[in-house]
Amino acid sequence: MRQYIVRRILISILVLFGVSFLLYIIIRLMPGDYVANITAGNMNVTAEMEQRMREVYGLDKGLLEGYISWLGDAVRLDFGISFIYQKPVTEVIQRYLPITFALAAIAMVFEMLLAIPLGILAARKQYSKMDYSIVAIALMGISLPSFFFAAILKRVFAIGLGVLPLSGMVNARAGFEGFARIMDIGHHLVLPVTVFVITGVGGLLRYTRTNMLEVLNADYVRTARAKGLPERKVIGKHAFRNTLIPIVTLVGGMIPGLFSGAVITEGIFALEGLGQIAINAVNNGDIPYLMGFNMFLAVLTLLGTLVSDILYAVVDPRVRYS
Amino acid sequence: MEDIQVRNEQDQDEFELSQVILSPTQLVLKRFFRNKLAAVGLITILVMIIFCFIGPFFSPYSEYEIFYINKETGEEIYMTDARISEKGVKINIKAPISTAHLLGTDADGRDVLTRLMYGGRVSLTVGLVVVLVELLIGVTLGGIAGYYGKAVDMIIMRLVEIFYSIPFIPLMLIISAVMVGYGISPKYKIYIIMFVMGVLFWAGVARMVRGQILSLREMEFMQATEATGIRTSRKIFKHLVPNVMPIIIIIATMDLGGIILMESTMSYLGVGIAFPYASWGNMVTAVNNSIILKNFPNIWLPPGVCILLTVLAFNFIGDGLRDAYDPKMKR
Amino acid sequence: MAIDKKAQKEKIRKIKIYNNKMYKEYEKVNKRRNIPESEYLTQMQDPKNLIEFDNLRSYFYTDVGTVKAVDGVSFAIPMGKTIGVVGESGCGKSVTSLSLMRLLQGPQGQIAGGQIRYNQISKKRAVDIAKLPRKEMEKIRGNEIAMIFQEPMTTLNPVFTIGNQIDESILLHNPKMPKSEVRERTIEMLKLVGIARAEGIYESYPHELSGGMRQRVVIAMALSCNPQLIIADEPTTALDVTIQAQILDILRDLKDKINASIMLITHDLGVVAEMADYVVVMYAGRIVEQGTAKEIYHQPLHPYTVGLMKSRPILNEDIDRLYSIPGNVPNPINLPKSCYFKNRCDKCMEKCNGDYPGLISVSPTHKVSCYLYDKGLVSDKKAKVGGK
Repeated sequence: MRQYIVRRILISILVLFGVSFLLYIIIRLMPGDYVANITAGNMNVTAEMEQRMREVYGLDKGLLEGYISWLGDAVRLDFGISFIYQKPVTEVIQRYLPITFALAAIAMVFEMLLAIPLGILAARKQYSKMDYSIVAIALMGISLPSFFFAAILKRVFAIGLGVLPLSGMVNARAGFEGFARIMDIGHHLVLPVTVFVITGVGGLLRYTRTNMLEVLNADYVRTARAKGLPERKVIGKHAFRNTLIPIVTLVGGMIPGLFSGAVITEGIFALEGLGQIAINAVNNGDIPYLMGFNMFLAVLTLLGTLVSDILYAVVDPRVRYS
Repeated sequence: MEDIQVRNEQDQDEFELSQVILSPTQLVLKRFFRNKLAAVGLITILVMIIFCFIGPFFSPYSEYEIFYINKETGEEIYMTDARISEKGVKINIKAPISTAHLLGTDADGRDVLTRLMYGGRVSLTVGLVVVLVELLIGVTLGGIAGYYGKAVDMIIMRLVEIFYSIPFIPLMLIISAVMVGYGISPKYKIYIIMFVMGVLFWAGVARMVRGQILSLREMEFMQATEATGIRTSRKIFKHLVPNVMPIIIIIATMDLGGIILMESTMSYLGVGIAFPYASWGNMVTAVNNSIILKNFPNIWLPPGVCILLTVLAFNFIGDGLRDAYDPKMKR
Repeated sequence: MAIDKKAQKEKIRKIKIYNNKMYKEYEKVNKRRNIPESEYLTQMQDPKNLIEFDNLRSYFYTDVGTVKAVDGVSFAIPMGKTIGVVGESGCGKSVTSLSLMRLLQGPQGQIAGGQIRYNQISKKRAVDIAKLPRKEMEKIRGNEIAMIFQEPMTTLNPVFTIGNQIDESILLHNPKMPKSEVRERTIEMLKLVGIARAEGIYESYPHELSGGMRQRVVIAMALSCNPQLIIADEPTTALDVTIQAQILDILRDLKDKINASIMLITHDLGVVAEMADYVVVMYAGRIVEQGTAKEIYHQPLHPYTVGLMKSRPILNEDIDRLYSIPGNVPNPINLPKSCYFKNRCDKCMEKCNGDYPGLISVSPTHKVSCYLYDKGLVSDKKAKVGGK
C-alpha cells in the first residue's frame, strides 16, 4: 500500500511537470511587450513588479532556461506578485481560498446527499415513470448553463420575490455579529449553492444509477435475497457497498471541477473567492495570479485522483496495491 | 412415415416464420426509439438546425442591423436610411415584443430573434468542429495507445493525465489573456477557440477508446484474428473499428452538448465568441445589466433556453444511444 | 421467405401493450398489504410431501413475446428425499426453482398460475408459496428453504468476509443468538463442508478462495439455518471435474446428516443417478417424464429421456461417437399446440400432430407424457403382437 502511494505520488509529480510546462509555454506565447501594454493603464503596476514578473517567469531567457528558473521559484511557492493585489500570489490564494473552499465543500455534501439516494431509487425502478423523471431532471441539470440558471434564480428569488439577497457574502449595512452574521452568510449562500448543486448533481446521479443497475443484476444480490434478507437490507447493505466503489473514484475527481466552477458562480454572485479574482485577473492581465491559480488547481486535481485511488483500496478488498 | 416428416418440417417452417426475430441493428434502433426522451431529443436537434441554418433566409433583418426609432412618431427606421440623423431619432434599444421584432431588440438595437438564429449557427458549428478535432486526435492517440500498449501506451496515458489535470475554464482565462495581448480580431478568435477546445478535450476520448480497444484485445474473436494471421490493417479496420464505432458515436453526441455548454460559458465570461458576433452565450451576458435582468427577459431568456434545449437534446440522444447499445455500459 | 415488416411492427406494438398491462396487474397484486391468511393457507395432498408443485406456470413477458418458461408443471418433493430435475439448458428447471424461492426477476418474470404448496412444519400449516406475502416469504428463504447457485465465483458478495456473510444469514433468522455463538456456528458449518482452516477462512474475502472452496462456503451458508429443503441449481457445473466429485460427496454426506430434502437441478444424468431418489425430466417448460431414479434409468419411456440416456458417455463401452438428439429446443414463444418434441422425435406418429399429450401413469410413481404409451394405443399394439 505504502509503495503504491509513493509510486502514485511520483507519477503525479511527473504529470505536474508536464502541466506546468504546458502552462509555461502558453505564457511564453505572449508578445514581448505584453506586460507593458496590458499594464499601461494600470497605475498600481509599478515597474518594479513588472521587473519581478519578468524575473520570475524568465521572460528574457530561453524557453527551457526560463522554465527551469520559473520552476525553481514555483517549488518555493513563489509565483510572483499579483498585479491587482500587489501581494505575492501565494498570499492572495491563501487569503481567498476559504470562501471558495467552503462553497465547494457545502455544494459537494449536498450533491452527494441528493445524487446517491435518487440514483439508487431510479435504478431500483428502472423504466418506470419515477426513473424517467429522475434521469430527465439529472440531464436537465447537466445541460443547464450555470450562468443562465443563476440569472433565472436571481430574477425570480432576488428581484421578483425579494426573499433572497442578489449577491455578495454579507449584508454590509446590517452589520450583524456572531450567530446572526453566520445566518446572514448562509442566507447569501443559498442561491450560489443551489446553482452549484443543481448543475453538478446530474453527473453523479447518473453514475450512481448506472452502477446500481449493474450491481442489482449481480449474482450476489440474488444470494442476499435468497438468504431471506429484506429488500431494504439487500439494497442498503449488499448492493450499496458495491456501488460505493465506483462512486468513491468519481468523488475525488469532483473537487477540482467545483473549484473551476467557482469561476462562474462566484463571478455572478459577487462572492470574493478565487474564481472571481481569476475573472478580474483576466481583465487586468494579472498573469502571475492566473498562473498560480492554474497550478493550484492542477495540484488539487492530482491530489483528488490520489485520494480516490486510496479510498478505492479502502472500500474494495479486492484491490491490493503492490 | 415419410408423410409425417414432411409435415413436421412444414410445421417447423411455419412456426419459425411466426416468430418475431430482430437483427442487432433493429434491436438497437428499437431500444433507442422506445426511449421517448431520445426521440424527443432527435426532433429538438432537427428543429434547432432548421431554425439556425434555414431560419435566417426568412428573416427580414441581418445579424448586425441596428434599428432606429423616431421617438415622436414611433416610426422605425433602418440604419441604412438617411433619416437616422434627423432630430428625435434614436437607436431603438430594448424594444418590446412586437410584430416587427418578435422577440424585441437588444441593448444595441438589434433584432433578438435574428441574432438568436445566427448565434445558434455559431454555437452548433463550434460544437461540431470541436468534436471533429477532439475525435481526430483522441481516436488516433487512444487507438495507438490501446493497440500497441507498453511504452507507447505509457507515454500517451501520461499525456492524457496532463491534459486531464488542467482545469479547462481557468486555462481558457490565461489563453484569452494572451490573445488579448496579440489583439486578435473576433473573427479569427472563433477559429482559435475551436482549435484550442479540440486540442484540450481529446484526452477524454483517447481514454475511452483506449479502454475499449484494450478490452477488445482480450476478447476471443480478436485472438482468433491473431491466430488466422490476417493483415494488421485488415484487423484494425475490419474487426477493431466496427466494435469501437458505437462508443465513438456515443461520446461524440454527448460531447456535442458539453462543448456547446462550455462555449456558451466562455462567451458569457467574455473569453469566447466576442462582439459583434452573436453566440447564445454572449447574448445571455446581457443579464449583467441588472435593468435588463429585471425588465427585459425577452433579451436574455430565449438564448438561455436555446442552450438548455440543445444541450439537453444531445444528452437525451447520447443517453438513449448508450442505453440502446448496451444498457450496462458505464461512462 | 420474406417476413412482412409491417405485420411484425404491429406484433411488437401489441406485445408491448400487453406486457405493460400485465406488469401493472402484477404490480397491483404485489403491492397489497395485510393479505389475510386465508388467501395463502392451503392443504397438502399428501402430508409426507414437503413441496407440491401443482400446475405451476411461470412466464416471462419479454419484448418479443411471452415466454412460457414453466408451463403447467406438477410434481412433489417428499420429506427427506432427493429429487433430481433434469433437462437441457433453457428447459425451465432453474425457473421452477426460482419460482419456489420467489426470486424470478421482475417485472418480466412472474408466476402466472398454479400452486406451490409448502408443508411449513415449524408453524404446523401448509402455505401456497405462489401467494405468500413478501414478509412471510423472507422468513422462509434461507431459513427453511435454502439455495445453492450455479456460479460460485459470483454468488458471494466480494466486499464482505466469508464469516460476515454466513453470520448474517444465521443472525437474520436467529436474532437472539449471541454474537460469539453465531461465530461458532459459522465455523462449525465451514468445518462441516470440509474446510480445514475454518478460522482462517472466516476472515477471508471471497476473491481469496478458489472456486471449489467458494462453493463449499455457499453450501455452508445454505446449511447454516438447518433448512427443510436445499435447492442446488447446477452446483457443480462451473467446477473442475475433481472438485465436482468432492462437492457431490459433501452433498451426499449432508443428506444423511441433516435429514433435509434436496432439489437437485442438473443437466448431468450421472449426477442424478448418484444422488436422486426421484427424477423429473423437463422439456421446453413441461414435464415429459417422472419417476423413481430406478425407473427412469432402467426403463426410460419418453423418446426424449431415451435420447438423453443414449447421449451419456458410459465407461468401458467402446463407441465412436456419442449419440446426440437431432435438432434444437423449440423457441419458447408461441409454442405449438402439439407435442413440443415431435420435430426431433424418431418415433413420431400421426397422432402426435394432435393436442399435447397428457401425463400417462405407467406405474404408481412413473408417469410419462407421450402418445406412445396411450392406453388405447398400447392395447392396440399388444393386440397386434398377440395376433401374430
